[in-house]
Amino acid sequence: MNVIDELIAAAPYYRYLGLRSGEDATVVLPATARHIGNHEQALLHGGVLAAFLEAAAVLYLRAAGASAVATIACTTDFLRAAPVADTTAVVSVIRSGRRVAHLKIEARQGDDGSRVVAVAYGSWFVDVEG
Amino acid sequence: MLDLARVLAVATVTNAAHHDMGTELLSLERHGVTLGLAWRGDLVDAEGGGLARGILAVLLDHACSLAAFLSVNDETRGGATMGLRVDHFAPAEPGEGVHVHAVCVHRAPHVAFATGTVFHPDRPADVLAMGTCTVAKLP
Repeated sequence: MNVIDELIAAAPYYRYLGLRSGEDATVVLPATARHIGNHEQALLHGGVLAAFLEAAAVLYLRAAGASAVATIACTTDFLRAAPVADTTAVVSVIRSGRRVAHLKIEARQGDDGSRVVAVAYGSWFVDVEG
Repeated sequence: MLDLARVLAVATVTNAAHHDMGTELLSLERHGVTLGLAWRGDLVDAEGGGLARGILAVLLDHACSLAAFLSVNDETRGGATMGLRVDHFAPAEPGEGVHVHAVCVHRAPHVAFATGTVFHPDRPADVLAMGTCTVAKLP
């Protein structure tokens, strides 16, 4: 089990979401009917996508060695309707300071991950031991 | 006219995510809505044991879109969330449920702006998280 999967296993809500690690240290939200927000069009709930991208940021920082992480603020833009499908979160570090990290996280769908359905930007308090 | 039955249906029946979480629609006002969620052991962060920050985001998204929907007062279609900002003031306490109160603050021709706060039911002045949401009116 890799570090990200170990962190997911320790977090009840991440297990509830069904998160798992993906390729290249990404995090995957598997297609699950219980994450549907719009039944008529079978679309993922926007709030669930926002929660997923925030979770991916926390997992990224923890996997990178932070002993504790707390979200300060996170803004998610929903770029297009997101069908129920496996969704991958790709994290970019905008700036990693001594106490605060600024990250951008994209939610991608499609076989080649080229379909960006949402993007989040936020700031996190980071504790590093030692 | 406010179609209470329809709003209830949107909030509980047609929304699998909230049905699964156990979100309750507690009250409706002309431009506002209050949702509630009981504490559940499977909806908590690894640290602290209170309801997860992600859960607060899910509740804010839903409450804000319902508040915007009420304000838009469209009898046939709801709104689609375009953007959501969540500021986290304090972690939720272990074992305690939360209420989310959202209001529509402005309604433009194609988009509504809503804001909401999350708090423990007996301490509404101690805000845990604040959300700001833009909701597109569907054509």
